[in-house]
Amino acid sequence: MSAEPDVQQVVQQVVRRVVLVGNPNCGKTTLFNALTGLSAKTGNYPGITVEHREGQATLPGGLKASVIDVPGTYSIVPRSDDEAVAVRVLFGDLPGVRRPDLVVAVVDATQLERNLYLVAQLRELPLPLVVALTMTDVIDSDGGVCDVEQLQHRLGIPVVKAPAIAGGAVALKALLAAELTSTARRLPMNVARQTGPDTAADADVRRASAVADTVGAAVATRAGLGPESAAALGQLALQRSLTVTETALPIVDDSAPGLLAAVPVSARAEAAARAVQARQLRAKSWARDIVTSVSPHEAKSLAFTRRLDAVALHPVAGPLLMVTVFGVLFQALFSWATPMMDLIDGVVGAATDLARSVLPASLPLLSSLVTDGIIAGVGNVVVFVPQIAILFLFLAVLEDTGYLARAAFLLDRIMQGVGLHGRAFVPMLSGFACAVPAILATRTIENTKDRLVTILVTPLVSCSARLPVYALMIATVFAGTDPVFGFIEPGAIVMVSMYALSMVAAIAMAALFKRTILRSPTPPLVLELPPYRVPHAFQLYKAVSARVMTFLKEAGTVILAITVVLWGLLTFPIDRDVADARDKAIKATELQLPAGAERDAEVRAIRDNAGQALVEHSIAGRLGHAMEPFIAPLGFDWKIGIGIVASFAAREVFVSTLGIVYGLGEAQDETSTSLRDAMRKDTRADGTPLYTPLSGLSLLVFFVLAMQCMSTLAAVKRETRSWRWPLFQLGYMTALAIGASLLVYQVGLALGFH
Amino acid sequence: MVSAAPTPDRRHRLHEQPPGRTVVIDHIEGRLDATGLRLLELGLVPGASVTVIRVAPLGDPLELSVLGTRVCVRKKDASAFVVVVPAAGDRVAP
Repeated sequence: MSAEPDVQQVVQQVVRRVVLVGNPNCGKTTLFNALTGLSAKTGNYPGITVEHREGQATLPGGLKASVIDVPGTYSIVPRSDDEAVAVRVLFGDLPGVRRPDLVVAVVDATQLERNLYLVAQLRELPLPLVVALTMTDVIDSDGGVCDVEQLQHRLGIPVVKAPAIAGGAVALKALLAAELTSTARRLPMNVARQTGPDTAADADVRRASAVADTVGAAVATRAGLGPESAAALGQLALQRSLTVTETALPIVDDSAPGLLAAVPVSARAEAAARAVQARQLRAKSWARDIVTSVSPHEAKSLAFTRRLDAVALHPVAGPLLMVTVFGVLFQALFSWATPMMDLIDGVVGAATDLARSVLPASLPLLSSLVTDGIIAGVGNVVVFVPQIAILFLFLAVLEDTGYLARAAFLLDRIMQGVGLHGRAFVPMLSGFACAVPAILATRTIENTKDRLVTILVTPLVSCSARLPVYALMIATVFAGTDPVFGFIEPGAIVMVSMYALSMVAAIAMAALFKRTILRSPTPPLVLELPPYRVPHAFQLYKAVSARVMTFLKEAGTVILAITVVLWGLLTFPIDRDVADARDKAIKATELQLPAGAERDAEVRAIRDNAGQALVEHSIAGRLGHAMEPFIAPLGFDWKIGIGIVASFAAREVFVSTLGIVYGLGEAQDETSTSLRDAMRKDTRADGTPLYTPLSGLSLLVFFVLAMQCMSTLAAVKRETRSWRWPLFQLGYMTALAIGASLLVYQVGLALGFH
Repeated sequence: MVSAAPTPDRRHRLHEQPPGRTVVIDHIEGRLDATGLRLLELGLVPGASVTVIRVAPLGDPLELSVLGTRVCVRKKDASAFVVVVPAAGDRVAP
């Protein structure tokens, strides 16, 4: 305990920290990958859900530096939680995180003037700063010229080209090594100011600037940035005082609060606008004639983007293209993943058989733990990998090509109505396949509250794991009923209704949460449409592998643990009499019959029969019985209660659990006629059938709305970094499901159905 | 707000401009909110020329070209920007 912290401190002092900041789409991630290669890891700062990436760069002279890639931002005045993390990293305003030793402003040379605005802000702060120019390869291929030396002269800090070509980061690495070993300090620039006419109104504006300077001095002291940064930090505080925002920036918000609020809003707005304008002018003068293109109008490289946008954003062709793109994504999640998931199921089955044959038959409990607990648990985790990989590959391609921004442009009007960001569309669509990858995909939503709303409602979207339950119930209670209008199957109507119910529930709950516990304004839209680019294979690989690995490590452990717990619930306590009788009967059969299909069938029948009694005796069975008084008003009995408990592992487990409960073994699926027959024959105490169209409908509604999925809860826990939200979600969805089922069953009974 | 060239008779709002038209930002009216400030930071400052590229199929948002970049803005946010529509023959810096 005493020695370790010291060692860590020493290590931290040796590893120099370099932070890459820049506008969104400026080529920052490509540059980060070029610097860090395979060493990059995705991480979170304590208590913050926004991710950043960190990796090690080996610099000339053997110097190692830790390179941090933060979310892209247009300004150091953050407007979203993502941008706030970028700014807080820059200021060392996160618990346990030092200020960086060097800041690299990544600047897109093809968008020089706009990108230099951020540099103009950074240049006013006493941060060790250099500039890396990306996309210079694009300028080269357009036949243009980029005058790095002139730009370096104007900015007063080192500037290097960092094109996205092999060896493009060499110059930057050399510069990093030189800067990290140098002790020279560069002074920040004076804050860009613009004076207005000398009128009475202007006096207020000057007062606003003066108060801002006072606040800035307080911030500078708190940040340990030195008095020379007071003016710049004051401007930051001034702009922040105008932006009603829930993103946290404690270093500014907690310094001299209330001082600026005393100044009239109009004066503050004018002062802030003047400062922005002055900085824009500075950026403009810096950028003037630095990049000269041979073509007099727009660069050649943009011609393709303009032509494609004419189609992709066309009033008719655009929406059609978008439906096609998302249709392919949807299809991929549903059907391309299936062969891989079947393969995983096959491997899990083979592993189960192998474990059964290797483990001694004298220890049935151990064999059961290994197969039904551990191997099944690992299978429950791995089975999500194909869908996660496919979804994130698609997302990375859509994001990196620039298409996702176009989709948000087309969809914004609709999503505005729900009060959610255009980016919430992809996760909610993916929810039809599976909520687990969908919840992981909410990461693209920049604001924490909007992300949370999307996370909370996505499991209401009817996922593919509910299909077996729908199919079984519809086939059991609606088969044989008369077609509506003579040709529409009632089952089809029920199926469509369940999907409609799930969508209505998801949208209604989103609207409710947006207006109550997660109240926040409709997210603003300031969306850049970047030029289309070909995605980088390595970058796609990194995006997918990072997501899959985090899921396996963090959500996977939770899923595995819950699988083992559920196995315990369905296994213990063991009814010794039944188990002994079963083992005796199996031994007797094995002595009586020769090895072969007949003997196997006989043994299986004995097992299945005993399985029914054992499950009823288990904790899950007792829970089912204990639940019966509470779920009877919903039309359910204790057997369905066991199914509900067990289906927490995954909704489709409901079907195989009913198989066990009806003494048919666990190999039953929704197409099995013996299970359907057993269910149809089942009666209540009064002799009326248990499964009627009404009780079936009630159960279907329950499965649409209930949070019957531990893997989703594990994913939500991973994404929200606490048990609070998954437990809330479990609570509200269960309450919703019970309420809706109760309503369906009781209203149905009152109307004379049974 | 510092005005570029106050010519009241030619003042219009940014969100009313038809696609293809290039206008010059004159000033921002009303309370400068978070989105307005961000748009300033993206280059929609008084004196800057902005081209409306297109309107989204559902009528909102707008796609603008400013500082050589394409930016999408909702009409509600664009309506705060008072612009000067250059008369035929006026030269507007690209």
